[in-house]
Amino acid sequence: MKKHAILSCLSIAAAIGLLAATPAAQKPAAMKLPPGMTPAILKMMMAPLKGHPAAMPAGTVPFLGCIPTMGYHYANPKDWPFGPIYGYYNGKATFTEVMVDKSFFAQGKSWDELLKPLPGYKIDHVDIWYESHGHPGYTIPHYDVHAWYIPHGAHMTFCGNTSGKRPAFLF
Amino acid sequence: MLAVKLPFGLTPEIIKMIMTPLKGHPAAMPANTIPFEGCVPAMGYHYAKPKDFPFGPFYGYYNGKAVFTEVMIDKRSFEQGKSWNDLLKPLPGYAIDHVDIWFEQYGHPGYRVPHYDLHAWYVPHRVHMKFCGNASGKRPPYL
Repeated sequence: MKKHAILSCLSIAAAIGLLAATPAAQKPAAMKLPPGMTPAILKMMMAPLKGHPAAMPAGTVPFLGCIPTMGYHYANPKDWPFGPIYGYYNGKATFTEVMVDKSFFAQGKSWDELLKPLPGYKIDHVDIWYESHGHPGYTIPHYDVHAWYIPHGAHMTFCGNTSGKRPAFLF
Repeated sequence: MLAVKLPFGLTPEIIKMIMTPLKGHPAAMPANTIPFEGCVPAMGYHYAKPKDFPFGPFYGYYNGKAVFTEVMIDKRSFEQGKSWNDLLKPLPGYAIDHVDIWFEQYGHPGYRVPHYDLHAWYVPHRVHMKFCGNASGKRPPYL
């Protein structure tokens, strides 16, 4: 139930409400979605997988759906929002992530033993992305720190992101 | 004789150790990298290509093996909201065990601005915490 409480956060409610409240007479092009976002992408991002993937740790639950360039996110609810959060795509675990509040870096915090890979996986690289507006599920300015188990070129096309570029709505 | 006043638990012996690079180029360190300083407690020896200083990548060396990939990120870069792709890749033949992010409020010799050290370690945390004679296994107050 906690998951639903988190998922019904303001921004998601606002985004979905925006879609639902759009008058039928209004053209879809007039909908104000974040840059690069379409209703189809939004729907994909809001639709968690059914069932628990074997590659995801016990006790984790899905947060949101398929996020372009990232895939699916799973975490133990007690670890939200800092993490660790684990990535899943196409039958395999794909990353370990933490989300670091921008103010933590301003305060000069330190962390030990962040970003350990899941058993049987190896970290290929780390991406540090600033999310100036936050994103659904964590709507404050923060850094997504992903320790990826696969090459950068591979995950950048996840969830139909054919351009391989970081989408404008993930800035 | 009065004891020499050194900040944050530093001793003359530790300073000498930190400032003394190894002689010769360890086989585990990539070609064209050079040593930056000596044995840093809880970290080991640091190597980088001069063109990559100060951001990195830096590579760690201890006891015959590569032990980490590191980047140093200016605190201002985080305040400005920068992003980075493809950081902290392990050297061939090594696997990352964990990542530590340490704020260096005063910087340290070689990079004297407030910044973050991001180490992607190839060895367990408790192992590297005792590097360079750091018997307590705790993060030294001067780091």
